[in-house]
Amino acid sequence: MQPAPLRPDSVFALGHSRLVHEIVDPKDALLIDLEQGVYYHLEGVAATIWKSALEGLSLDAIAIAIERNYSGCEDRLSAAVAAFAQALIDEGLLTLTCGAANGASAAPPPGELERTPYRAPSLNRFTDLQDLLRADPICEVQDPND
Amino acid sequence: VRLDAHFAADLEAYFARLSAAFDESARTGRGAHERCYRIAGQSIAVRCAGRRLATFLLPALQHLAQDGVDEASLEVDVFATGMKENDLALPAALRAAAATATASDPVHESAASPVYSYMGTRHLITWFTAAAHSEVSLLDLDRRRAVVLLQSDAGLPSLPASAPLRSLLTLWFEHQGMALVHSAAVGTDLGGLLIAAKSGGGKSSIALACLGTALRWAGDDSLLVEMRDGHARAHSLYCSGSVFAADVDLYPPLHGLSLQPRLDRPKMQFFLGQHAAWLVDTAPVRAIVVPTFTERSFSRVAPSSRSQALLVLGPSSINLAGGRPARRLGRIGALVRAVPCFTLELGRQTADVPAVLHDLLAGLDAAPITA
Repeated sequence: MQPAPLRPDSVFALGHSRLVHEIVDPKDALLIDLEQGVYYHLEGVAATIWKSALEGLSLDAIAIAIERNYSGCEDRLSAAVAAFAQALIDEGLLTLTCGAANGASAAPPPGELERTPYRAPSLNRFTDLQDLLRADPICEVQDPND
Repeated sequence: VRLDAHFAADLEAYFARLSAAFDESARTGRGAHERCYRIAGQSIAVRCAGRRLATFLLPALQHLAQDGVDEASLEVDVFATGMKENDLALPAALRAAAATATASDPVHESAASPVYSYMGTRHLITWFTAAAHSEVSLLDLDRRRAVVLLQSDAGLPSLPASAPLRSLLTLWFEHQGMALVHSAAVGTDLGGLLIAAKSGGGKSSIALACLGTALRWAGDDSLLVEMRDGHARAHSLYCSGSVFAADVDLYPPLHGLSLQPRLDRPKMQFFLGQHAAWLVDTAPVRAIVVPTFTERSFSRVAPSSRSQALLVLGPSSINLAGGRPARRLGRIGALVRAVPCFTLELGRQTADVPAVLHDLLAGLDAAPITA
């Protein structure tokens, strides 16, 4: 069965529970997938999309956030954001949630005073520590109420 | 139902059973050998059941040994048995919870030695089982006591452990807000540099190059880092180090040390506990340095981005010795945001590295540099 296409009001959540991430600053993020033993570095527009998606922004709102924070955005920005969000979903890093129907997604934050030049988002994927990350996994038994 | 409440009786009984087994092991092993250590600002008392176990466990902590402690922050009892002593196994309910937590995870099914961690409100537990070796650490936060069971088919190795009690110490100190990082560190009492690299990335070589210089050794593989009021401090854990046999002659200070082959890596192992003047126990972190190998004639440092440091420190630290991956990564993120980061472009030889790093530290003292 084909997955449902992304819509302007699509909203997202973290792909799975064994995915950890750290946003170094609003335009730089590290993601580590302990299930696959893969890690990712997202810079610039890619990091902003990631951060915005986890803040509950819809696809449309993410595109607005990009426009507010980057100069010289491409004409088909919404399509570029959707394609990158789909790539994150395909990697298992994001999943669609059902928050879109009631229009409850978060609003894009105000832009920065000095905008950064736009560069198309890309996913930097690293597999060099796959053995380390997968061979000795941490199995955390966590209190669900914690 | 909270897991803690669900397992409370099991865990209490298990702690009592392990403690009784420790007492019996100490009795048959001609006594408990107790030493106190000052680790990350806390007094940790370690009692080993039998001299052989103490000989195996304690050399890597020798540089942190202290005398005359009135009250330890944590008391740890350690004993060893054969693998077949099943009556000392973890409570079935806890094992079942672990199985449930991992049943849908194919990675865990094929894992050689998964590290499990349980972090309740009163008890912290970490355990792993490999083919011929297992380790269980159970920590009671209310009593500030822990008991560690080592089980092995072949008995204790003849070589001292390079990183003893690492899972237990990680759980304890991360519970206190610190983070275990995969890093070397050198420095003085006034300031230190974290050397962040993946395995084979130059951490040990740089720490070795600084041996016996003004830049003292805090560790070559794993350290504790504490963040307080936006400032980072590194704490030494182990005085063990390793070097490739072919490289021993590159580092003259090693000539007077006893070098023994490591069992787990093609390297020689040594301990620096007798050389306090070469070591630093704790130091404020002034910068993170990420080495890269170059064909340059001389080594040099250049400002780098925080993301570069996180990209090295995060993935290589996150899977060390149990604990909560997300929490550790968050603390490492706070660390890289708190200090400047540099790339160390290593020249063809490492002899100039101590001077380069010393100059870097001196420059940071005079005027902090930011990338």
